[in-house]
Amino acid sequence: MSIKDEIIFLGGGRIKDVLSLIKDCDFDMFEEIRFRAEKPAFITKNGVEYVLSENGELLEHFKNAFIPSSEDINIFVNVLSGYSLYAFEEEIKNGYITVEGGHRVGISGKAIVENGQVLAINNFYSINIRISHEIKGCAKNIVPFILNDKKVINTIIVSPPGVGKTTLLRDIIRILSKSGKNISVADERGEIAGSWQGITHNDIGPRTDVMDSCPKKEGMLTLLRSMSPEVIAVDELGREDDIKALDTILSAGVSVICTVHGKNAYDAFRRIGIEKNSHKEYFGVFIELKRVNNSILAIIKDDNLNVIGKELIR
Amino acid sequence: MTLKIIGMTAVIASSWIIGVIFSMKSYFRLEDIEELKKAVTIFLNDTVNSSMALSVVFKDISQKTKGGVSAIFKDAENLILTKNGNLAKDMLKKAIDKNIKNTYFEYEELECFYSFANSIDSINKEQQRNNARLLIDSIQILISDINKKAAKERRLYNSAGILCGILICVVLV
Repeated sequence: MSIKDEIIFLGGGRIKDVLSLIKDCDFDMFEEIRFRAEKPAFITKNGVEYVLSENGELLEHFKNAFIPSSEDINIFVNVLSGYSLYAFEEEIKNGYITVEGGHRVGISGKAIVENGQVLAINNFYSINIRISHEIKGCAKNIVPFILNDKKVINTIIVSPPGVGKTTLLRDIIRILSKSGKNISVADERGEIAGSWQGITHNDIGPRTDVMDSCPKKEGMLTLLRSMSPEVIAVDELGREDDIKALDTILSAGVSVICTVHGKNAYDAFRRIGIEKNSHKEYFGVFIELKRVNNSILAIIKDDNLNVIGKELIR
Repeated sequence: MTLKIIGMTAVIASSWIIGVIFSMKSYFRLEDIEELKKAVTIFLNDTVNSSMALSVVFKDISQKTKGGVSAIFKDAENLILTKNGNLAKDMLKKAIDKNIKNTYFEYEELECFYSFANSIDSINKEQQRNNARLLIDSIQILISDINKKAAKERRLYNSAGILCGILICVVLV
């Protein structure tokens, strides 16, 4: 199934109709599609933002822009969930739904709050479809940097949202798995494997075990106990107790490859709570992703944060 | 005379059988309501405890129930998979309307079924749980009412069948 088919099949109503009018070839280069109630729809393609027209064309102006209503947004989300919003209760509380193919749909709307906790979100106002791209081979030149005599070095991939952390992590997992490593993936948001109803839709290699829809900390520790992995991979670390899970995994002699939001390695340390100058105890390789024109550059650094390589991954 | 006796016996037996057939109607109705109760119980388990998607829940129900109820959920599953509707309740109602002729449902249980359909687009499991439990309670009350009514009806139709047969014989002889 092409990315266009996957995205169109997701939802329903008028939004689906407009999406189906977009040219097939354009879809492969899309990064995000944003719909807001009573506002023009936007599409980010190769880092450049366009306005989506009612005819499915990408415009640089607002004339003939497609403006979805609040009802269109709600219908799209309801159909997107397979008419099963209740089944995505936990994800919706966190503001997103991950759908078949690993595409993540961010949602905002009216939050129902009780005792300071979000119970649910209804009356959706806007959606942001982040398109998952599987770029096989993008990590081919990066994997040698994270191997030391066949042992995987603990690695952290850092970039702002939407630059390609998950895409790179997925390809690293696939390559390592194919090379003989048993890898376990704590895939809380289902974006790495693109799991949908028990089937992984992305190629993550033959020796990869996935625990999806499970909080990262619990997922990592369960995988450590149950699957005897050589490497544990996890996307978007950043919660307070993630560092405790990292301590447990590293003390068990298992390698970790993870991604963190941030501009550079220091942002990542702050985010996951690694104290100053103690990063060497945790990680040996740091990969910072940067957007350069229409390409993504990976800057690879060693444990002293000296640059040891630069590779274009897209 | 022998011929008359044989004829009278045949007439009485036939009218008694007609009475029995009429009394069986409430039995079939009860059977369908029991199937509906089973469907809602499966729904409750699959949605609340297993977080299954609605299409999978409907498939599961159609496989585990029989008769018209099974056909309704099978059709609803197919409609949901096409993703052509805006709300699940519309699709379930469409499936009910299409298959209603294959069931023995009457007004009360149809009301229950439609109100169930109206509630399936809930946004969280708590709502699904409450709606399903409410429906199970309503069905339970309905079953006990119909059971009482059915016992009376069985006696009534059986007796009426025999009495009609005797009446026909008296008139004709």
